[in-house]
Amino acid sequence: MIGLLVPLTVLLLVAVWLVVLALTDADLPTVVPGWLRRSAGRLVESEREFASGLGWPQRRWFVLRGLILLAGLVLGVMSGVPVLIALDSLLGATVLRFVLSALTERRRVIQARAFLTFMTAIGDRLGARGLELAAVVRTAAAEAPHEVDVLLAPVAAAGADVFGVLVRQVERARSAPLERCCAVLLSNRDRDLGMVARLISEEVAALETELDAEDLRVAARAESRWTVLAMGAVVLAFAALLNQVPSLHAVFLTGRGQLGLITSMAIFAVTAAVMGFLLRAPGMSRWDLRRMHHDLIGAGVGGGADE
Amino acid sequence: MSEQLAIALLVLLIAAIVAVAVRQRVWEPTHVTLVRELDQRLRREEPGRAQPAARHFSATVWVGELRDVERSLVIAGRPSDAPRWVTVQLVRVGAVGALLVALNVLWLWQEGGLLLDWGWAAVVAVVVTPLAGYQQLRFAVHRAREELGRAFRDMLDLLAVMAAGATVADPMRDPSEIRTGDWIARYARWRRDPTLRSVVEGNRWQLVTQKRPRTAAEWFELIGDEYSVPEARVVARILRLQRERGPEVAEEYLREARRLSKQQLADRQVRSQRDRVAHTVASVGLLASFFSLLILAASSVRL
Repeated sequence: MIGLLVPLTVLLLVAVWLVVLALTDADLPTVVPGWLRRSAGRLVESEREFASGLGWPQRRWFVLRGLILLAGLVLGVMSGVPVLIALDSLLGATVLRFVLSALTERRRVIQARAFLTFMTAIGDRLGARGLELAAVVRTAAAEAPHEVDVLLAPVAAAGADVFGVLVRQVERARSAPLERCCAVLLSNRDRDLGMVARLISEEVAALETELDAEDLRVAARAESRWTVLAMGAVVLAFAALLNQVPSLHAVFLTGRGQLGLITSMAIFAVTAAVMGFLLRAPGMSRWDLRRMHHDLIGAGVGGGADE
Repeated sequence: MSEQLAIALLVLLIAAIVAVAVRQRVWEPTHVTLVRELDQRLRREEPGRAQPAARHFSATVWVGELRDVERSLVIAGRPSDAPRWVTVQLVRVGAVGALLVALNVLWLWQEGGLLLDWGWAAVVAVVVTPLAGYQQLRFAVHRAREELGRAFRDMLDLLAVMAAGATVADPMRDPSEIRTGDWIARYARWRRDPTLRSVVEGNRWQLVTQKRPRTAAEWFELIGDEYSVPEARVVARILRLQRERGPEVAEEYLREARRLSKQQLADRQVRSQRDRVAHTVASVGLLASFFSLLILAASSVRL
């Protein structure tokens, strides 16, 4: 028991320490290998993206994640079976994101659709002569649908640097369709506005088709997740029930019992991973808008990461 | 004897039914079959487009790429050091072998028997591990090709507006040597995915070919051929047209961008339907997990 608890606790503490350092943008010590630093950075970025998808402040998300992880660890320790300690900690680390993923994905599609309405408004207004793209973007942002009004409010209120503010806001949303729309606007601000209007209408049509397909995928993934969750709950409840029987509890503490539990969990985990992989979202291109803005407009984007 | 013959015939019959079902893709809904057939016809009818074999499984391609690990490493955007890659695979084999031996010894000491038969342990370490490593590389190559396809498709939108605007510029100044300030190098940096960067930065594309293109169109054709990315050939074709027609070609860019978008979406939908069938089959594993727990409990009670 101690043999499992000590390395697990050390690993958890190291992970928490790395995540806190990455969160606070502090320099990670050079003793930490490069791949581990990169992994911590990627993990934090992915968590930020998820929190943004939920529309939650990052702090709330990270605190909740920490609490659920702690609860899993406590439950595992209470079971008294080493393998269950590892399992419960793992569940504590993954289950919250797993449960809320469907909600995040749904919100992202809704947000992207609302952003397409904003793009269509820009395209329509560009038909009028004598307008400049920045002014049109500002006006369209002021009349954006309510799903993106908070996101676009700073754009509507922006002064000269409309595109800088737009880049900052879209970066906060961390959404591929939004980034693609923003990339189209950025790359065309000094070009033929008629062609820009045409391109916007083409992009909107293409993205709407993509979002229709994404809607179906979101539904399929949600169904798959609920199946996994329901089956996971059944398997866990069954394991907990068996653990209450003294003779079976004794078996779970033997090597053979532990191996049986590990095998059962491994089958479950591999199956869930394979199911998730088969329904994975085909990645839409992500854009480094900050760099694009710098290259094309020649100025930095004000403001840092959100929060 | 007749019983064995009957069983053999039964097995053959089942195998034949399964083969026919797989061949006919009986699990596919009609609309998916129609999309796939349309996709295949479009590919056949378009002479400039690379053959689908470049993207899908083919024994010849598989064996060819097995011999050409270095090329696969370059396409996947990894260091092009084949001996290093082989060493890493050997280290993995050693690590898996050592782990299995350690587990077996521990199990022998604790329970008095082997956890995994030595023969199986050898198969896992010596056959499964390197094959998994190679498959991982092939997956990375496949992913890199897909991303390059998306990158070239997205590029068409931007090139359309460039073509329509006052300044018509090629994506690079000297196609035989791409430099940091070239439009394509900047475009590669605008994308978060590093795949296109791994092609243009440091001119890594020169590692897969000795040819040196003289025009931008030739560069895209070369990349299309060497990396098996048909979308690059589309860019090449329109760049050639641009020389003849000037700004009018912007419409052609947009048309091709939409066509490629539809093509990529159709490809994804076909794959998605196929994966959903596999997903349903895989979900049986969840039940297997429950039953393994049940068997463990039942066998323990009997003890």
